[in-house]
Amino acid sequence: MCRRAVGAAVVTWATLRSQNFAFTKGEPVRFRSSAKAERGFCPSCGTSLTFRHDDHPDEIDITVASLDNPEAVPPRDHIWTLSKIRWLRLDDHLPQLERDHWHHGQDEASDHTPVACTLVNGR
Amino acid sequence: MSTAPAFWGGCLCGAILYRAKAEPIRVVHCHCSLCRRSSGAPFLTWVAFPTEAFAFTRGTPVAYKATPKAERTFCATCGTHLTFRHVESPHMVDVTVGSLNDPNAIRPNDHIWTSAQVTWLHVDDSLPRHRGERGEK
Repeated sequence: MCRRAVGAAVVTWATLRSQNFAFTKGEPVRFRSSAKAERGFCPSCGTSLTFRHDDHPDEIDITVASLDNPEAVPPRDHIWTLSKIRWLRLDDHLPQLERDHWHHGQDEASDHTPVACTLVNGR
Repeated sequence: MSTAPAFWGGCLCGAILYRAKAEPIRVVHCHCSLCRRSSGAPFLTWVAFPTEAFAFTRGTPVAYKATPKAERTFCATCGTHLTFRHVESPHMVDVTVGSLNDPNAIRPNDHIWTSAQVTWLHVDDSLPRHRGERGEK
């Protein structure tokens, strides 16, 4: 889903507490990409910006590539490697989860910002 | 009968569909800052087809010019990035591999604009790497 929603081989997300995030200029287009998830993107240039899931209303994912400094937020792991494109080989030694954190029972909630940063291979 | 392979794809919501009926000219991972910022992904992988072999078969995407010479398109409804065209390469259109129905059907050839690559991204594919466009070291 991430792949098709953006058009990219992978998408990297930084998860924040919802109360710590705000749009300071403009409003994105919001698209329901599944029954429970909503993605936001710029209507003028198409940049993918946010992901929210109804089951986790206290969190928001933002695309690391839309940050002014993506270097500041190195990823911590990969999720949905079940859907990974076969020719993509990543050698960063980060944990690789076949599905997502929720399926793997990890507690993704924390007061740190960002609470998780994940190289996503599909979804 | 033509024996050219065919590739199909489109956006996430299905408002835009396309077809390319030709061998890819090239497939590149682009790490430039404009690909990154325009998509929201750390890099974009593009498959280039001859312009005449590519057609949208449903819908019309939104066009955006990040620079005067290049035009990107995406779906107005779901935001999927679809194509890139450059005025100096009118013979080909680049298509995002993430929008292909079967991205495993193509094989990337090399990396371009690695001078702008995010440093935490490690891709272990032994493909040629170019600091700028192809031919630039």
